[in-house]
Amino acid sequence: MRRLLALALLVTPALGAAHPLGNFTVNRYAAVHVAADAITIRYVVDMAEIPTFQEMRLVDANGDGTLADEEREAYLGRAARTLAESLVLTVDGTRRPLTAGVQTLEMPPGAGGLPTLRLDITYIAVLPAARGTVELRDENFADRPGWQEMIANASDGLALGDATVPRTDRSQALRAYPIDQLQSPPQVREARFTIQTSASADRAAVAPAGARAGSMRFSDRLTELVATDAPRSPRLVLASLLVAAALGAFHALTPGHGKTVVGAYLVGARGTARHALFLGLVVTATHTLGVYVLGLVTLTASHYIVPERLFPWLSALSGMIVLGIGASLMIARLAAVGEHTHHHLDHDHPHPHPDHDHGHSHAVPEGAIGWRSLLALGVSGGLLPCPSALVVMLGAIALGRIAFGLALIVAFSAGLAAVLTGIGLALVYARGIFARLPLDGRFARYVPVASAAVISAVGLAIVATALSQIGVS
Amino acid sequence: MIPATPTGKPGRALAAMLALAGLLPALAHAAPSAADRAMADAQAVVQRGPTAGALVDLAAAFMRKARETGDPGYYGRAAAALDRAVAIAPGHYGALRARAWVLLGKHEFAAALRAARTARAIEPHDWWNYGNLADACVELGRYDDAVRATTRMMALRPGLPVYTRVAALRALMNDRRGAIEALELALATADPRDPEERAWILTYLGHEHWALGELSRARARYEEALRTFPDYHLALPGLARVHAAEGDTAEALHLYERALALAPMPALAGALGDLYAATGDPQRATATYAFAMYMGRVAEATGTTYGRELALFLADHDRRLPDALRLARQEAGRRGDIYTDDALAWAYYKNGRLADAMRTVHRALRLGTEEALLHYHAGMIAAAAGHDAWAARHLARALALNPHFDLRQAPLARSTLARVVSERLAREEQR
Repeated sequence: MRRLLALALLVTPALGAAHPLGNFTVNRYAAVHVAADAITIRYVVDMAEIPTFQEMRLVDANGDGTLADEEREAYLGRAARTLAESLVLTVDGTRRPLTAGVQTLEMPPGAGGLPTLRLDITYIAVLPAARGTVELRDENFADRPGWQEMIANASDGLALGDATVPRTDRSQALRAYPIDQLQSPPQVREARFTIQTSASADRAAVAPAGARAGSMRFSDRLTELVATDAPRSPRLVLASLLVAAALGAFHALTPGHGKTVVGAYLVGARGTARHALFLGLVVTATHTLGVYVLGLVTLTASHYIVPERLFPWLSALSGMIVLGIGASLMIARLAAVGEHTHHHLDHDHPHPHPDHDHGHSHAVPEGAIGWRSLLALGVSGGLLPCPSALVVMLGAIALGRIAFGLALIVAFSAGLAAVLTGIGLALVYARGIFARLPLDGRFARYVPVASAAVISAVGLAIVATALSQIGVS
Repeated sequence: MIPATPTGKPGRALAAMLALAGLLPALAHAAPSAADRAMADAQAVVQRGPTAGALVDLAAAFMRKARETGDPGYYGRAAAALDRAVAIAPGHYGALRARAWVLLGKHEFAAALRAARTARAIEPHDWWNYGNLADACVELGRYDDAVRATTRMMALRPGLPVYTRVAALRALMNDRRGAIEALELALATADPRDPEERAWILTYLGHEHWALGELSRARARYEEALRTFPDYHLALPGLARVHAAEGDTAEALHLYERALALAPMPALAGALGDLYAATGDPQRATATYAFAMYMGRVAEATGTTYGRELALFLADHDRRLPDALRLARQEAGRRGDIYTDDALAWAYYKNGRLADAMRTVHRALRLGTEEALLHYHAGMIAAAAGHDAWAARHLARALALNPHFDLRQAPLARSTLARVVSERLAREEQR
């Protein structure tokens, strides 16, 4: 931020980016494929305009400005050898020599028709046996900025364990860069994985994309419950369900999930334990259902809908429900308070009627706690599925443990609801104590209105946050 | 924007996690810099929940990265972050304030001045705004306004940001010793946890000593900068220039090549080409000049320009002279500082438009800046226009300030001075 003056004095070009990542980038890509007796590496180098020009000095050996076939061949052979020197493949710690197979050189036009350079070389390394830890390190063009991506795959019957890189690429082998200006391009120069022949590992690897996305983001213990390979005894299943419930409970304590709303509603509406339990039940049901539905959507329509993109919308929807409840409550309660205030003005003094236990009870008549709005509130609390729960379900489906996965979700949702209900109950009883305090009627009368205001405010905040996410995603 | 595919998510999520853990893969030879860390932190925050504040932080991180690497692509990314911030929170002050900074980076000086003034109107006591204001004014040639803004900034918050601006203004106004003093003061207050910042100050100290012809002091400062922040793209060419002046060609070539590989710019390629030419390698010289021209073509293909830098290169090397003039005039339409006037005057001179060159070079000298290249250009123009005394004075001044000021131009300064003086003597004799 400082010293920009002198920065500007130094001639700094105001240069835009022709190549998506800037025109002095060298972009690299390695796709590792493991077969029974060999590893192939498809290595692609995509040079932007300026490095291409520098490289052309080497390609166009006779300097006549055109690329003769023999120049092209000579360069490609040299490049394949030089690049291999800094492409370090080790199996169980020993370096494996790379032999160049198919090699192509292309010069696709870049900015203003200026050439760019694309090398696509497939290297082959012989494997002693399809086992062990494989590491690939790319030490080429260490100084050059650019997109650096690595992926790893295996042939049928083989699987990769603990892979540090994904199976599918993002750039179509450097043909299309999904550029988000605010995020940095991938800078992956190393890949590590183990080769396994067991079928179980193979199954783990075919978890759908959504599952992998979630597990990477949340690295949730819940996911491990499903993914663990150990055979499942009934006791283990029970333990898993308990853990799932505990995780759900823990999850309910994280921000969101309408704890404030639940509390404010029950306090304001003079809810009873019955109401609180009902609310818990609705939350459990909605959350379970929400996860199921979103899971199905992900599985069947994952090519069209990205589940992560649905979250803000669901968030907005649940926020709007909350806001609606808050607003309608506020209107009803304000009307009630208003009526009562008139009453006051007529009498011009606080009424000491013995038939009223304490001023506020008739501000909101008993029974004003509508089951319908309670249901809506519960729905809004459970509508937003927890991503980890979604991951669990997807994982369970992918692993063929559908029933188990569904059961885990129910347990998770129940745990979540238990905490919400608990909070609700605690507030109900706390309000009982609160109500016995010798409170001035005028103050107590506004508690329901204030709680409606809190509900509205929370709803508004949820909607606003969700909308801002929708706006930017 | 291309919608992210489900498969695209893990990578991004993983990157964010790695960034969170501070594990973002480092360059082979260097740990993540302060700018890298700032960038990764801000990206992680934005990924969790893009707030206007987080996006402004991200823009600031991109700006630091731009300076650290010399890669102007980061200016565009900083601007995109600010656009996003304003979309979330219209009228966000932090975004407005940073906008001026980003516009300066993008060389949109008039717009930067407007943004800085708007921000100042909102927060007249924020020292930040005066820094941007001063920078924009310097680039637009409004030096009195720049001094006023810097004075105000000094009153609001004495410290490194204002010391470096004071140094730049003093250097412009013929007080290089004062500039060095201010930079030393800045160095003493620099944050030891930000090596790039220290290296930046050291590099500019090197530049000031170089301008005074103090080669060994300049070298010491550049070397210190490179020890502080290895491979610093601003310090490498500075040190290369000193080595070339001292006759250590091998080291100079090595450093220029390194700088050009890290942050390719036409001026660098020009200097390297000159060095190849001076050491009797015309083939490499030609290839390197061609590279400089090519960078210009790439810039124009992408709708931008190296402006002044490329204009000077073309004029210096007598290539595509009409283009040199066109680029210099284009630049003069965007900024009004003395260095732009100087480049324009030089381009006029090379295109044989002596009257325009004379008029413009006077503007370039209006602050009395003591810099060899300015005097050299003035001297050559005066010599061509037949103003012997003027020519001799400026050429002599250029060579006195720094006899090595430019590998290619310094010998021309010497021979022209000799010719002007001998012609003058011959005329006196005749009388």
